[in-house]
Amino acid sequence: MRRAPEVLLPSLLLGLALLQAGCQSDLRPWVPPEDHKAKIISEAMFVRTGRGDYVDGYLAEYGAEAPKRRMFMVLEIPRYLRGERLIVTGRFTGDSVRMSFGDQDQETVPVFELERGAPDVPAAPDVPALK
Amino acid sequence: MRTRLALRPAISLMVALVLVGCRSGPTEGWSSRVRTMILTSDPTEIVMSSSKVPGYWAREASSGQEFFLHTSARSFKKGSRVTVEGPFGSAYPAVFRDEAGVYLRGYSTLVLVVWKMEKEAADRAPRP
Repeated sequence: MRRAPEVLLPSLLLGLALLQAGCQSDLRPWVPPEDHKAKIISEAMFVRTGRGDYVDGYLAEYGAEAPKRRMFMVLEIPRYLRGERLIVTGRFTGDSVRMSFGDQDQETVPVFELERGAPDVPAAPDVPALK
Repeated sequence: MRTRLALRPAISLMVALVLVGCRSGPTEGWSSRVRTMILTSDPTEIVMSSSKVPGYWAREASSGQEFFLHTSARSFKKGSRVTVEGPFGSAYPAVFRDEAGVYLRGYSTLVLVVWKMEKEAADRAPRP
């Protein structure tokens, strides 16, 4: 009976520590990466996000329907050029960047963290050979 | 009690072996033997832990294994055969493969920190 507090107290403290860590954690549930066809519509930029991170990247538009949606594509080696079309794989981080377009008010653009970007080269049309 | 005493040396030995196993990395990675490499890129850079790391992509002549040679030297050209010395280890940097225009984050590769790098003797010799 006298040993009960000795055993229970560390367990209780460990439980409380884990609970606190869980509550304060910024960890988000794992989500699978998404593929999009995107077009780069800006030069490389270095911006501050809503969460206060400083990141390199490009403004890009994606999606099949008009008007196209915009995202800020974050990558660590910005070597692409404005106008390039890419197939991108990555995740939206939940962060955003405030940007203004022309004379419009500022717009909140979601941050997309790029894991893989490859040129979107359209396949050559399948033209039957002349007989 | 007697059983516990008898088990103690066995447990100690197991712990010691586990510790030795954990501490011994691939000794090959820390050898400084000379390796012959063929550069597969001009001077470029990768990003590790948000830091730019300059160097070259290369293939080891004997094994065909790809390495990133970390050096600030920029006088070598793609296709050169070089001998390099230095330790290496595996890493997951962000890379941009110029030849394909592909960006990859978390690319698995071997990074060799160049202590010494020079053109291979055969590559230096004038050709007829």
